[in-house]
Amino acid sequence: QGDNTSKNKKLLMERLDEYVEDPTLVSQQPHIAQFPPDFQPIPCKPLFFDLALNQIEFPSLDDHIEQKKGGGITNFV
Amino acid sequence: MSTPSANVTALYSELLRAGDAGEYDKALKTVNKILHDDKEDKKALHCKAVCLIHLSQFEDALKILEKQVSDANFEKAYCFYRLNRIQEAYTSLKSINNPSDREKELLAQVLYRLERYDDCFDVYKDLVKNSEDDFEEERETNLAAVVANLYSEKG
Repeated sequence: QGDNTSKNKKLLMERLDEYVEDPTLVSQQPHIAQFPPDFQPIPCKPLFFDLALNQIEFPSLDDHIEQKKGGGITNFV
Repeated sequence: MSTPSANVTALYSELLRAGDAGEYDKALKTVNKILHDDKEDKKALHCKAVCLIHLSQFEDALKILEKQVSDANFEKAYCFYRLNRIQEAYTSLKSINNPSDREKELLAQVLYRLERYDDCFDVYKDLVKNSEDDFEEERETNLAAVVANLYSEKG
């Protein structure tokens, strides 16, 4: 019993893997988690460029444009 | 017979000009005119997909590429990438034999998103060494991001 009361002081979030009958959980003020949580340092998200987009371009249109030159000359003649 | 084809060539050079200028909304209108004459024009369909990609309409671009254009694996993979279908992007990139630099570039970005940083690092090392364009700084930034992730992964 004495053991139970000491565990009751832990918040539910910190003892998810042990079973303790905690009467506060059904009461008006259950001990579930600290809110707001403490701040924790995390690494920042590094910059990352989408360089593949620069390479999205039309396929070669030479075969379609070349005709224009030919056409242009015949028109000229 | 010669009039429509001359017309199409004119449209094609208009398309090329708009593409070079980065005016893809204009290019899209032009390419739609070409397709009005010939709905099956593979090259025009390919160009249309490119326009749509630049206009961020990836779903529409992918629909065209999957149904009507067979030789645009790079563009297809890019659409998958942007639509968050990373695994499919990876699969279609892997189906390309003899990948060129642009395919490697996309592969590196896909590997990054798959969090396969070791493989990604190797691809970037190769790209940084062998590519010559205006984006070397950006590429090295990407490489640095990979290294940072490798480092934080290994603790």
